[in-house]
Amino acid sequence: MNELFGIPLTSIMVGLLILLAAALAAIAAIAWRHPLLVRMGLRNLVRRPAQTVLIVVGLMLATLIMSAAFATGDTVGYSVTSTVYRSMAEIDFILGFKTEGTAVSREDAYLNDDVLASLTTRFRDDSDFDAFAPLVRETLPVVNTARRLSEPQARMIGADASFDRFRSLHDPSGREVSVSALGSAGVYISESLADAVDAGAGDRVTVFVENRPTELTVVGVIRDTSGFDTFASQRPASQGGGLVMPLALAQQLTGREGRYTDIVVSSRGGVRDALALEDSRVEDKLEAFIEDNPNARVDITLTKEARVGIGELIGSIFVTFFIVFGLFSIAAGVMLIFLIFVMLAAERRSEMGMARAIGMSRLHLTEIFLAEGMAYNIGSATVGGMLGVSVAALLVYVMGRLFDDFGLSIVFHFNPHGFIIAYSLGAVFTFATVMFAAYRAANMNIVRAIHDLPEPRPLRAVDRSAGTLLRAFLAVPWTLFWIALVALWVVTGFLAFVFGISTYGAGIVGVGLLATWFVYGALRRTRRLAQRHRNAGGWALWMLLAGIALVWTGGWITGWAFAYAGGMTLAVLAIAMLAVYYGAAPRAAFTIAGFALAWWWLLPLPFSLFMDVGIQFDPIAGITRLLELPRPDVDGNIEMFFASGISVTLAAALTIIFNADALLSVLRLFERALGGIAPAVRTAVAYPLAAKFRTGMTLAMFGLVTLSLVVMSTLNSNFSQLFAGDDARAGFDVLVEANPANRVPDLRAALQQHGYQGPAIGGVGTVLVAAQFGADAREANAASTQFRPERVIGVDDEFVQLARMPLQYRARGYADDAAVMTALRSDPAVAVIDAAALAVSGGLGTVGNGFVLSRATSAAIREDAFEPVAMIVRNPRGGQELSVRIIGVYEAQTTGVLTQLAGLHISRANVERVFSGGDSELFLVTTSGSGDNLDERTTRGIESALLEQGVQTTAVRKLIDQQAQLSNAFSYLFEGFMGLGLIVGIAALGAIAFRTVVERRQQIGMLRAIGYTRRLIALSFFMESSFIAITGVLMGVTLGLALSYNLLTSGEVSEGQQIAFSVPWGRILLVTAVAYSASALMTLIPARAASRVSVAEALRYE
Amino acid sequence: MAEPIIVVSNVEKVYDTGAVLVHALRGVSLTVQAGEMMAVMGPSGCGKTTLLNCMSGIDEPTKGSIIIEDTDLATLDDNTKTSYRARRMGFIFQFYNLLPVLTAVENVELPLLVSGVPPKKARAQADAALARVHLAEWARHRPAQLSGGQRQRVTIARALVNHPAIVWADEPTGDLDSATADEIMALMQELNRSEGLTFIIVTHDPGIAARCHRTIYMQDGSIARDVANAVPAGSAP
Repeated sequence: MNELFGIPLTSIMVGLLILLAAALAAIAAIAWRHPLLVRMGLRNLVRRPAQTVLIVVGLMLATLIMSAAFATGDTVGYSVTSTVYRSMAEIDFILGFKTEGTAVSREDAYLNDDVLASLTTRFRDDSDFDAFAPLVRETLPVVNTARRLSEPQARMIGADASFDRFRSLHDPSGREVSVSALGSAGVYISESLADAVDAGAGDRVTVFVENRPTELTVVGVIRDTSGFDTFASQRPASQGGGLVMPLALAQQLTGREGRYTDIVVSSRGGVRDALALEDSRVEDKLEAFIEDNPNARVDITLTKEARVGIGELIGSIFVTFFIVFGLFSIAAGVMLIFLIFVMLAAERRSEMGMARAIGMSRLHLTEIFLAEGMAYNIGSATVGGMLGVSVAALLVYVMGRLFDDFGLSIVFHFNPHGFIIAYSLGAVFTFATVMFAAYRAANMNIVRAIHDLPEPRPLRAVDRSAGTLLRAFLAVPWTLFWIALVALWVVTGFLAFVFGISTYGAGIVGVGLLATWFVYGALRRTRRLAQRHRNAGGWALWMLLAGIALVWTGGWITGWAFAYAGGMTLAVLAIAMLAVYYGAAPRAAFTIAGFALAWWWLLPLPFSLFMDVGIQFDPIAGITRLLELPRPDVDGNIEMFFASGISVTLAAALTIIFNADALLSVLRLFERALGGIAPAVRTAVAYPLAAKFRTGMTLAMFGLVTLSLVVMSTLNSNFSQLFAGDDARAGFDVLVEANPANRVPDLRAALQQHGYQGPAIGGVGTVLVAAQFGADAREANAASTQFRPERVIGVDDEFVQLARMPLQYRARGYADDAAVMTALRSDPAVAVIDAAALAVSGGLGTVGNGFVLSRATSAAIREDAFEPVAMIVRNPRGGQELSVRIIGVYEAQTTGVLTQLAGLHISRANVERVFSGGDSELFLVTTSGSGDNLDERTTRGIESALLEQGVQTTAVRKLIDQQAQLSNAFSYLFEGFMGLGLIVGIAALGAIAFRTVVERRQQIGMLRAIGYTRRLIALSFFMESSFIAITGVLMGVTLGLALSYNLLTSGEVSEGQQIAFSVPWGRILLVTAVAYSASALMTLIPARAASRVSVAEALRYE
Repeated sequence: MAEPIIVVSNVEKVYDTGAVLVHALRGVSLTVQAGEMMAVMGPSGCGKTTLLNCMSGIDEPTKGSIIIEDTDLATLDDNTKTSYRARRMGFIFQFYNLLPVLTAVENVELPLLVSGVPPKKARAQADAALARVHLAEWARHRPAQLSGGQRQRVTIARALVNHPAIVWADEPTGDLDSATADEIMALMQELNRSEGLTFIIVTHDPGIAARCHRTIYMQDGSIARDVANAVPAGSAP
């Protein structure tokens, strides 16, 4: 993997290393100026070893997750590209028949002998080219008659001795083998084909071409990667495998003497360092040849560079996926870092007050914390990075087993780039968080700190005059200035490197310095303001302004939902802060804010005012519409999942923490029932409620991670149910795929002819596929007249009659699904398409260049009943066109599993007419009769009867089960990865529990003195942690289920499908049980330590 | 003549600091009568607090015996000792040692709750105890909202709430100004007089000691002098 988010990895790495170096330089500067401060910071490390261990665990989480994401993505990318290199070996380009605008049938789509001659003549003296070789490839049934075993769709490659120069063929031990050794009628068979037909060197196998058998001798077995998947069109190599035979024999079998399907080209260089991978001039020369020889009908059909690129892309998609899914855990990790340092500051408050009293400045205190934080940071990032690699190794092992079925062998690969990026990012993240926490901690009143008295309420103003608020407002820029300055320099330096504008570096630095000087001059006056008039009101005003600006930018300028929604959240919180500043009760203000945010993010409006104007969730949009002002137009992607998770968690944590006394009152009601443990419950609940910030943070951490796991589980489970349910069968039991080289026009007739002996067959729906060489489609009335490839399928009467494929949308005039299907049978001008053709809202874009309906059309279809959509279908070979109208859209659950049915369904007669009889048949069979495993027995019966035709049969149920198994395995994999975040919550509880034992030592002594037993003390601590863990987990489960319900029923995710929302209680219980048990286990040690505090010593301790 | 409530015989306490052995108590013997108000004085490090901790059962002597209400503390296991403390003893500390997260009344009712008194009854008793120390109107305030004197009165209320036989007070006025210290001492004298509570008060203040029936002076872990105060300003046992 070389790039992430389009930026070269090396640039990201160097950029982050610069940031890390800056952080380290800051610490070095502190050490140089005040070595004592660094010593003070470092000595704290050894004061409480257990706490130090917990801090390191907490800090390493972000690095661990990123490191694991990189190592996993890198492994997948490396494995895919390795497979490409192994299978393509020295092949850099494949030239094939140019189908575009060529009126020839599939049978005629062969290259002529003179193409190869022209190529070799033109590039004979060109040192950029190493070799050319002609190939013939087809898909054939292979039978070992001696053992009555067959492989219906093996890939055949016909090659001559010139192919040896490509070093593509290897025996299982890795030794190169030569085509010359095949003689005139020998074949190499691949490992998986050898397994499938149980054949080896010396055995004889029979191949069928156009139903004619030919017996061949196996000369040897070669690796599956020996070029077969290079030419794979549909199925992975390991499933079918293939065979290599002499070119002349292949040409003779296919009846195309002197003609080829492909010409392979090797450019100068080896397998991984070929010229074509780094320089496009080889491709340019081939393009020029193609342009100069239009009659040769040749085209570049595949390049190694493109396939390697795909491998790299897959790797980077994995990294992105894991990072996005890990974002919740990373967010929880950052909160933990912050919490840890807030607690450390609280623990040392008196010491810090004393230090300030004897002359240390706030900056000095910040520097002590920074030194300590950086020491933890360096250690934890290293441990986290290495553990991340181990986690990745585990993930890779699981993935290896999953991908094995697809013929992709996953080989663990470690790229130092990814590790360094994760390390630096983790360290920089931590540094920034520690800096903020340290700055906050250093802001205390000396006298209060020395006497350990609580600070005054930070939000409420004593003097609430407008002047005070204005001064506080003006005081904020001083702090913001320094933050902005650091950020500006960091970002500028980073961008300068990434985008290679280092040439202008000196200029940028000059302008930056000048700007800094001016801004500094202008803001210098605010320094005194900043020191004297800091209060929450000033910050709240800035937050409000920033919120409004973000809402405006997101809603009316950029359309970025993240900014719009984030701005809204910020503004609501700012209003609550201002309300408290002006004397409102914090509980009322933050409860209202919490509810408002939860309502806005989570719930549909409970009354119809905004519903009436078509806005389900957004009051701003509703108001603007009512006032006839321009409405916000926003669009969001997967980041909104993260944003909504964070926001609802914040809202719920605020609401709970400001109303938690209600919980205490409820518990009071049960005190009598609690008997002897009532005092323990009393103290267990009182402490968390008194430390609102700390408890709120921990609740949010637990809630966030639980929420992410619940959402993931619920979405996976509901989608699995949808795609693995009985509906996914589409009403059929067995899928039969005919071999294009051995057509079977009528399944019933063929079975009768070949003596089918399986269970009785109920119905046979026939589908004619016109996609082997592509079909094109476009909307007739769209702005663009460009055709795009689409899978066009001709369905016969029986198929329509048998199919149970529910429709997601219907055109106007069709009362129900049956009306649409009747029209499909009777009216040759209508068509039904699968849901994948609808444009996806949210800007994810389309993958590849396949046909997708325009956004406007897709939106119109998504309305209640749409106007039929006029389409033009074209045969790219002959140019014949057909006009049809789309009158229905299938739900995704059938085409999601039976992907063979995905595409544009038109009548069979139309496909036969426009696509010259079509390319291959698919039969969808229903069974009849009784007995177990009816579908399996029918499958075996059909395959056995039509062995020589090379049909491929699969029980639909088995296909669905495999799909479900695979999707479940991936779900568990991702859930497991996201579950890493639980460690954050658990570490947080552990850290808090350890800290509280130290903090309350004297109070424990007093409690013991007045009669608390050891057990009661331990129980109180244990229940305190449990109270937080259980509340957090319950909060996460509730929010997660609410969010999942909205996602699944809002139509954004489900695409309007009727999803019967179900809760995977089993998985959720597992998640909650693991979360709670682990946190309980973690707090047992400190609880035990608390119970063992010596009473006399604790009371003496001051 | 009142019955002895505390009998201390030849008690020694040795702390092992790792580097040296510190003899905090060296064979202390004394007897305290029920309803007696006794002050323990002496320079810092002489063993006053150690003696109080050993007598109250929150620390264990290395040698010797302590008999409270005819029960040898050495024969009790930790849980029994704890339960005994909850029922029969009250504690007053120099730095109040109130739970900052609980209100005054919640702090006061804790010893009752751990003794198994039903919550409603515990609350009523706690309210009554606070009324006795003139803090009825401050019952729903947290310690941070109270003055030093008020906090110490909450501690006294907590010490009294379970009607203990003995109240242990370690520097009860050490953190208070003289006027408040005087007020607190008057309160303790009144409780001693009206309810016959036994008070053991560790103090540095001769004025406080002078208001007790008896003062023992400690030096280097031993009792140097045991003086009965001629005219204690308050009650007599």
